[in-house]
Amino acid sequence: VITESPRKEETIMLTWDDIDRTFSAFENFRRRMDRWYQDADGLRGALEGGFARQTWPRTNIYDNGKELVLQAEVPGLSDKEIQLTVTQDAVGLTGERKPDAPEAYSVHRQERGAWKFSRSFTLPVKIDPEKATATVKHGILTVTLPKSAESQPRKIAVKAS
Amino acid sequence: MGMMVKRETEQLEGVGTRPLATPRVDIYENQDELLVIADMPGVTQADLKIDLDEEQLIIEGRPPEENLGTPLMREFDPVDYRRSFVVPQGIDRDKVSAELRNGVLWLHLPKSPAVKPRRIEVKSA
Repeated sequence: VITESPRKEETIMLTWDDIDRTFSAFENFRRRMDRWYQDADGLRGALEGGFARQTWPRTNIYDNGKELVLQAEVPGLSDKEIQLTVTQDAVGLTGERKPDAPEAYSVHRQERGAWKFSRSFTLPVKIDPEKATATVKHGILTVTLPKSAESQPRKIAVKAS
Repeated sequence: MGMMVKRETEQLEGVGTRPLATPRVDIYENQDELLVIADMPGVTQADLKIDLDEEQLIIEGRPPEENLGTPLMREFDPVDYRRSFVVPQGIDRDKVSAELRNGVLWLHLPKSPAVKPRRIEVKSA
């Protein structure tokens, strides 16, 4: 039986330069790890209970031109269990998944567990915090961050003189 | 071991296939049922397939893919979830039930009456 190691709250501060520089290396490493996890079920649970959980919740950030869109995997969390703070150039994400083990059951396997998280992201462009919206659906948090007027891409017409 | 071999062959990457991910699960048991709880973020009822044959339980989820723009940071990829388990005899197949709550699957596998422990009352004469 795999049991959970005690967790503590972690803050992971990322600046955009850091991401740029280390992104490809991490990506490479992560892919290898993923492959490894898939090959070894037992190990997977144990590992994720340990260090791999530091990056919870896993987060993607996209740029669609007008907005930045942040998505995070938060299975089991409802809107009440997630707190978001948004400024012009940063997003803070905190939350907690409470233990959901049923009472009076014996345990055969426990890979999921409860976790507390706190992450913050520095954004590459200025956004308008007033217009930011967030939804959580099927365990995926989606935060839409409209870019501020000065960050919007502009089309400049080229005139023949 | 059979499960392992199978997964490896299915993992071969082809054109248009997404990587397979193993959802993390908890498995519990009491005298009435086995309970499987699986984290499958992004999966809706329509994307979920649960197969239970004589001895194997297969959970599959294929969440829809959205185009949200150019990725600036990527910690997770669109995946197909799949995991299989060997299920003991004595599950009441007709009463298996499943629900999805916030991207978490709760799968109840009730035991058939024959395998449930019975309490025999001792009467005083």
